[in-house]
Amino acid sequence: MSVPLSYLTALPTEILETILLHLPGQDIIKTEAVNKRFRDLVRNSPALQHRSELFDIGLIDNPRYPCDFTERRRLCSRYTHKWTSAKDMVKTTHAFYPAKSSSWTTAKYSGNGLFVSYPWKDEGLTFLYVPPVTSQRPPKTWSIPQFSFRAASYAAYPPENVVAIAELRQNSIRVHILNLRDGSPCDKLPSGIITWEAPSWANTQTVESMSMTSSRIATYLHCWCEQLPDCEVWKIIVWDWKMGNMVTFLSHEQPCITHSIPGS
Amino acid sequence: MVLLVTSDNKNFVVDREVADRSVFVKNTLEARGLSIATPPMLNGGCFELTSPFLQVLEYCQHHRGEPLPTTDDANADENRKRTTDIGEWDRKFITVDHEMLFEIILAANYLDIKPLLDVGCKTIGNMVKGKSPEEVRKLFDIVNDFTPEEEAQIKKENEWAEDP
Repeated sequence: MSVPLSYLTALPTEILETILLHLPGQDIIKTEAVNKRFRDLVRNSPALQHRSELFDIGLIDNPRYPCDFTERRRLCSRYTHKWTSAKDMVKTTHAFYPAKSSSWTTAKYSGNGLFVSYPWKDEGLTFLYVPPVTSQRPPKTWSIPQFSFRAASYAAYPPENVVAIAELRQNSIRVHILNLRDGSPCDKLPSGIITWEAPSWANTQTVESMSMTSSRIATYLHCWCEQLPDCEVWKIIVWDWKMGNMVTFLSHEQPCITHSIPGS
Repeated sequence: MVLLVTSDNKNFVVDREVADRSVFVKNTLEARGLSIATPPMLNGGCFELTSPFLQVLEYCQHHRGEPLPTTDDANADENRKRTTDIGEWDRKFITVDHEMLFEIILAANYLDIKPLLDVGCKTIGNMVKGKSPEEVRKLFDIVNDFTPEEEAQIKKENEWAEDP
């Protein structure tokens, strides 16, 4: 039986991979069902896996978003089945960024999950929260009840188990630093809640307008970073709540912090 | 000027600037110590390309003088991958039949002309985008080599990725 030649499948693997990398995550996953060549390519390529996984947990290209936090978490938990351990994840993602492995800011595995962040050009950090694979219990909540505004950001603080959730407001950024073990305010830091004075752009930009595009947010935060060279050590990851993207981060050596409400 | 010879023994004399769009050609010429400052220089090289080569040359002519993407700039690389739009001229240029499209992609890959490779890959990507596996197979004459069981298994595993 003669088999008709397909130009597409005759392409070298690396070109086929490049083509698929132009696709949204959903389409990458769909192509697995085309034939064995596609299935094996998609499943064995770290780059393609990475993109489809980001889609999987709703961080990019997902037409179903925006969706609410609970839904997002549900997708996050689905994501974990692909990893048998935190080690696997680090390995896989490193493979995608061999040249950029030094850019990693956080890759932590604690009792409460894995936190990985790495820079996408002009899109800042992507921040993945992966609940522990082994645990049968649902992961502990590390959000806070009042955390329901449109644009919000997360920051990973170097000590394990500590996460800072930054709230972008019109005139300020509030950072709630939580201990992931029990959701309590972190006692390693001077206060549970810290308020940054607003950078000048914030006076004219509402949270809503900021969440229009990820690049704008990234730009603004970079400006802010430049304006306040004395800023703090936290890496802030802005989660564009509306679009469902993690967009950027800041990493400051010295903070310009107004300590306000002590953690109660 | 540079003389480029294809595998079917056709000669093409092109400006160095045009030839340099191909990183492969550029590196080859530089490795032989030929500099831009010494035209006219005839230089022979054999490329396993036939008709697509004319298309590739046309592309290089049009984009001559534009800055070449630096290979070690990972950030530029990311940008390239993540920009889905194709320029007006490039879109018209790449509107060819499947056979030519794939030939151009292979040529661009061989000659290391990243922007052209990218235009080709994006074009195919746009064809695949939003299509079901069946449609993709039909479009590109791909044989389904799954057993019905394997196919059902994949469909089941990827069910969640279907449109809501």
